[in-house]
Amino acid sequence: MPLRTESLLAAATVAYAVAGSLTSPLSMAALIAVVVPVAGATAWTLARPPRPRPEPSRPAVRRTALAWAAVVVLAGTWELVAWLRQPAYNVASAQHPTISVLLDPVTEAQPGRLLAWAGWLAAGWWLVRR
Amino acid sequence: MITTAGFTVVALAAVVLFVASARGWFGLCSVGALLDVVRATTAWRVALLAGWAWLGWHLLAR
Repeated sequence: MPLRTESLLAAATVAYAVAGSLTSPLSMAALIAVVVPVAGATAWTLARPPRPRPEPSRPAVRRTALAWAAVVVLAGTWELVAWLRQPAYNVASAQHPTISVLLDPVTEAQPGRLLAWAGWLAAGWWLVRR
Repeated sequence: MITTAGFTVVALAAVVLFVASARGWFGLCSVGALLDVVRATTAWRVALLAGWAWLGWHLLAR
């Protein structure tokens, strides 16, 4: 991709992150701000087949995948345990906070909310690049 | 307290694994190389997008 196009996309991403970070959590505006890039990324992904890449050695990929899967399963299990220990499914517990409760102070106020938006959009852009 | 400690342990394990992957310790490949393999098929790319979408909804919209 040409440098100029990448620069424009980066500027647009930052502008969108700023706009998204100005929405309030639990609002329709925030929901729409999330849905728009998701819809765009999904359409982009389905319209363009993945580009073939040189593959690293199979045993290394398998080992790495297993190690990361173990971490993800551990995190998911711990999250589930914390969620099940809440007084109700939609009532947070200070003694057993879930990951999203722990991240609330970051994602609900600036500048953390802006950084969270920028990081999320950058991750999406990386995922849809071929 | 123990719940937060558990998440801290998981986060530390992820950091250690990331460093080990980046340096090729224990015969591991980098996270980027692993994700490149995963991204090689449209089905997996859509699955990754679904996870990304959930993360955005969960952390930024609700």
